[in-house]
Amino acid sequence: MNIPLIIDHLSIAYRSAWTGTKTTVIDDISFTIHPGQAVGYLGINGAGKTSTIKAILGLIKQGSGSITLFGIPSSKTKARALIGYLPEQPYWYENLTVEETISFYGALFDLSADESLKRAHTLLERLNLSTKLHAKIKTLSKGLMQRVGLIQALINEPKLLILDEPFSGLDPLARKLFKDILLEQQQKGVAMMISSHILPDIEALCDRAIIIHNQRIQADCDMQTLSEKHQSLETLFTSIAGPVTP
Amino acid sequence: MMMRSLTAQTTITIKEILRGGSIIGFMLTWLLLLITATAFGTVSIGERMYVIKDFGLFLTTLAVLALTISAGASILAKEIRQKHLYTVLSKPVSRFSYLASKLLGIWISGLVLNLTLHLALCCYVYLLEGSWQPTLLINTLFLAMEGLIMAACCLLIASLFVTPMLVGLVSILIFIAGRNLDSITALLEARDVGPLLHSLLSLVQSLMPRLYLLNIVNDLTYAIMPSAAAALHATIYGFSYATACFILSLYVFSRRDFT
Repeated sequence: MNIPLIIDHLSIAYRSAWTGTKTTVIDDISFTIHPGQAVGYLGINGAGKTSTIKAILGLIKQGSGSITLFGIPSSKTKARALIGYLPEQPYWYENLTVEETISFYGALFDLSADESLKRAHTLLERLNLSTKLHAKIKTLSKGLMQRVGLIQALINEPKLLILDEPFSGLDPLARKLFKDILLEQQQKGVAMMISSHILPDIEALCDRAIIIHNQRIQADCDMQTLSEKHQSLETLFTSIAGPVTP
Repeated sequence: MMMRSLTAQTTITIKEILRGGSIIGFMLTWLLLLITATAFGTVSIGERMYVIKDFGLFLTTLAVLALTISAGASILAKEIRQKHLYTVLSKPVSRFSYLASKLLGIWISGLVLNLTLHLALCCYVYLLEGSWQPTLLINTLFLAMEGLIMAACCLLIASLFVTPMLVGLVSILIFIAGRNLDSITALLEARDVGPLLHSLLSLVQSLMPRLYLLNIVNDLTYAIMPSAAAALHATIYGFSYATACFILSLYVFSRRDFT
């Protein structure tokens, strides 16, 4: 019941509206994320990472298999009540201010504007956004928008964080801040699924890595074992996904 | 939980539409065209009044429906293209609540323009003629129902097609067909139009909204008031047709993948 995420024999296929041709993106994958566990979900571009995340979030209907969030099928709306999601690109309403954005995402979890801002207060301070509360989203840089994204992902005090390229567009200082905040969340028992191309970040944050290639899981290893074997995540990733070709 | 979420989403939709700037454009165009019509309508004192009322109500209808169709045609496509929908639907938000907020947001934005322009028209008539014409405000109800139907139609088309231009074009065709449904009925009854065209026109006749029933501009121009029964019928018809369209759009939207 309390297991944040169980994916059981999930397959995802897209069908072309014109030709009817079926393209398999994910083929029969299964894994579980336990409370407090941080899992790096890795793969080359087009490997199916974002499709898996979208299936978890109910944005695409999986072809077959099941996804369970805290014991509830992911197709149910209430299954997403304990999830925090940070997308790869900042997809916020451009004409809203930072304050309105935070209040809006809080309201989706039935939080009043005051409650949302109260919850976001510490994060706003830490992420240097407290002076930008009345700035419109469209005036912010990509890095600042990503900070707003992290705040909205944490507004409901989630038990499972799904982060798609969380460090995209961040300067080194902001990356350090993000990592610190995420480590604190992990210490609180929040489970995390992080999709990223920056392998050292995954090594620093995650205690497990899943590598997906050719639509299937090719490796599911914990960082401890990897370290004991004196193997880096990059070596493992390259051996699975193949060397970079010019 | 759903009420606060629905209210927040509806408010965001209204803010996005109102802050988009098109509403100001519609208001300025409305005023400019009305002043132009006044200048050309000064044939005689009596006629000027009719021209202003007729043209003013016509322009108001056009502005409200143009805002509704443009917002209805673009909002869903924009939300998908700019991926706002991803961050909203990844929260405990049902597709019903998401779509309902879009429908309410578009309708309420149209309603704001509807009331503003009708009040402005009453003031304009007062300034020129020195008499209040509050009966013109009755058109707000009929236009609100027409706006609701068109907003629901737009959402239905937008849940089927992704191109805003196509959604807008189909919606305009629905509006034209709906406004001329009485002529289509008359054509079907009066002439032998051939089996294929007859089937096509019969299909249009049975599916399209009966918008001509909601058009009371001519009557109001000549101070003919709609009956309470007509107002009630318009309200029931507007909500019923919009609900049917909404259920269909929800059926399509709920099955849609956002890849």
